[in-house]
Amino acid sequence: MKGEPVRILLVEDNTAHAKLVMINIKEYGIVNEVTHVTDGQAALDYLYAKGEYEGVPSPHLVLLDLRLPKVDGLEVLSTIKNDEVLRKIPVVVLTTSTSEMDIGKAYDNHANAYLAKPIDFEKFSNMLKSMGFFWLCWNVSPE
Amino acid sequence: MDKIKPDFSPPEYLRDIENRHEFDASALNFGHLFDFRETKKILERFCHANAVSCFFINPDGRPIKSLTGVLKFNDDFVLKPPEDAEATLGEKNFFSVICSGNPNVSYGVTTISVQGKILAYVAVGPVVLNNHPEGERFDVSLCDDKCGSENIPAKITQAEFSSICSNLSLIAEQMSLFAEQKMLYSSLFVKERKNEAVLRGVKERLSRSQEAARVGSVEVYLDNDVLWGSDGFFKLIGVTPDGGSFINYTAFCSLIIPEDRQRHNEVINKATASLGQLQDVFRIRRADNNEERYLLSAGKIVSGPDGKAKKIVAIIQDITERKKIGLQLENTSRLLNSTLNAIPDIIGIFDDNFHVIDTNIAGRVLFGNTADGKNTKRIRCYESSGMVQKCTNCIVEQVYQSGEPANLEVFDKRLNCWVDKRAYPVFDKGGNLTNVIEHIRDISDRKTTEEERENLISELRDKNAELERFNYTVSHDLKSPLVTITGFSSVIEAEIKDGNYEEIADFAKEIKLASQRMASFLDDLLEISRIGRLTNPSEAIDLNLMVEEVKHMLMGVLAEKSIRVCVETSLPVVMADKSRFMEVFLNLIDNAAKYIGTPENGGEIKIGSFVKDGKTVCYVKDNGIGINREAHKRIFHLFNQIDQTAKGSGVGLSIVKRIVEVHGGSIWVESEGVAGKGTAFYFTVPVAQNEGETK
Repeated sequence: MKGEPVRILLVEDNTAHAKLVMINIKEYGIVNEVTHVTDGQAALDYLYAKGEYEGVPSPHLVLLDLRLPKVDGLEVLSTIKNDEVLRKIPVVVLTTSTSEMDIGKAYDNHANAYLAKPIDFEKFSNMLKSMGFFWLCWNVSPE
Repeated sequence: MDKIKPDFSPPEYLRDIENRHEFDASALNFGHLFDFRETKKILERFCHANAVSCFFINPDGRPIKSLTGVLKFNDDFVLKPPEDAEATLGEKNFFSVICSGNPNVSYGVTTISVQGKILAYVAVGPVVLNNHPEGERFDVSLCDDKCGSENIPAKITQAEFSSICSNLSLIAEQMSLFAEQKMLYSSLFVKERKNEAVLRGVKERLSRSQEAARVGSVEVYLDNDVLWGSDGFFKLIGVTPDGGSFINYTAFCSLIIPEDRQRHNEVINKATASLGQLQDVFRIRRADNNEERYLLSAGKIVSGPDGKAKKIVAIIQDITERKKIGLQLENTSRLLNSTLNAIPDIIGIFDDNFHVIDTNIAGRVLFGNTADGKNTKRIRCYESSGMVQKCTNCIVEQVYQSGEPANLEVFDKRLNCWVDKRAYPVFDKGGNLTNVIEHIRDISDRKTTEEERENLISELRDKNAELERFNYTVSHDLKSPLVTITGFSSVIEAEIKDGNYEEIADFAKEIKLASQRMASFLDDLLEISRIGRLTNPSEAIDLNLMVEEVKHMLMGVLAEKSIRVCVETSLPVVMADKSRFMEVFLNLIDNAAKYIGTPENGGEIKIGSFVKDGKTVCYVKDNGIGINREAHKRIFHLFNQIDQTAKGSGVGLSIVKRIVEVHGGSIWVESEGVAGKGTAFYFTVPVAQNEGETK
């Protein structure tokens, strides 16, 4: 990752939420590029660099909402984690749901982390910051 | 019970015997005579009156016995009748003889004979015959055998002696008759005794065997009330007849207990009238200990030479023990039958050929009437209900094959209900499987309850799932705008603080949108909760008219996208809540218009109905973008909008589903998920019953 631009893929169908996430990520000052897609299919296209995303490089982190149009968030997660290459990318589930079923299913599909969006913006902000530093600074990824 | 005293009066039967035996004179001898005391007395009286001695003489001429007791005979005394004895005295059966020792002494002698055979002589005398010179009168001197002794014989005239002899002759004649009669009886008694000995042996053996078998034989003479019984018979009734093996029949009948007496008489009378067989079981009280016993009589009526009923010949058996066991069995059996009949379930007892041997009252429905406990027709269980062969999975057969109990829950077509069938093996002492008992219980109620429970559970599960989804959605969808609102408020705050105002309007707009979304979401929630609660009374609705109305209402949307709406078939009249049912069409048509996309030949919505499996199905088809197969179920879930970017909150279809279900119908979707091929919604409708008339 050294010297390489840090890329995040944000999969979020709620544009307002996406906007809030991106505002926060910008404040990290470490991320060079955030790509926002609004449905599961687009996420997969991006990850496999298909269609309009042909030639795009792999992201260093995926922020994934669970409830997505076209292809469901869990299915996207499952596809990533079943792919020998893609599974190395940390996937952080970022959703409003605190349902046990969702949490369980996410971990069943090898989510790297599960974050529930707090209503309080300060907390939301702190959470995203910590998450960013953890995954993008402290965490050592395989080459 | 009063104890009876049998009357043992002597019989008159002996008369019968006379005709049955031949008389044998050769067996007679003189000794028989002395039994006749009466005769002897007559003779003694005679001697005394006439002052003569009288004695018996053997046919060989030796004196036997003096009847008067005064005569003494010499050892050489022999009385020999002269060859012309009869001529000598000129009297029939009477003659004068001369004593061998003294030619002057004579005796008047007559014979006692039976059928020509001389048994003895009866002599009177001695007399000394003096030829009296005066013609007819001659003296007869009575003297003893020692003639010439000091005894002076009495003198009697010839005429007197003749009279004495004549009388003696009459007496002798009478004695002959007595002798003959006595001989006769004597000989009979000898014979009888011989026969009796044989008979006694036979009788004893018979008696022993009868006793062992608790059997007796009996003969009853109908004309004279005489009852002949064997020893065994008397033992059975507890009577010891003195001097004979009989009592009278009336006495016997008095032993029969009153309750059974009349029937016994009827049996006898019937048999007598028909000269036929008789059989009866009756109770007596034994004469000796008053004990009640059951007797079985079996016999027949014997007719006399005149063809009329003469006597009853019967064998009597004491069957008390057997009867008691029988009664016990009967009680047990009655108890068992009552128990079986008290059971409302069907119970059948089978043999190995599937014959129903017995059933309880409930079982008659299935196995026919075998109420008498015997299926004499030997009908197989399945035949009685008109079937040609055994039921499949016949559990009776299974038990016969395995020897183990079997059970099966099945819908019985014959009974037209669900039943729980259980079959159990019955083994004999040797462990052989002899019968199978089948127990059939109507479990319709249980089945119905189970079904209802299953339905309720499934309904509840659906409701629960829906509630869970609802909770999930509510928590998610309500939270989501809140995150947006608080988030952007904070952002705006920070921007203002930093003095950046460019994006504030933009951020404020996000807040506004989120609030609007939340408001509409809350509206939908209210709407959803209203369905199911609010129901207007059902009315007949002509769907053709309703569709026209909906088309009119959606005119704007349809015109905007130039969508054609085509009613393909005539629609039925339904019984439904009008305003609610309108929402079904409104939502479906609106939905179709919403997702019509851009088909080549322009958007088209087709509406129609058909009947399938007895249900009327309506459909709304479009040629829009279609719905992915995996989403088919999900689309009816609450707030399950396929595409967040499209307008609406996702409650439309779940509202439609609810309305259809509230009206007792179901709804499903068919779509390949391919744009242009569109989507088809099908739903069943409650057709008005008199639709034909209203239309």
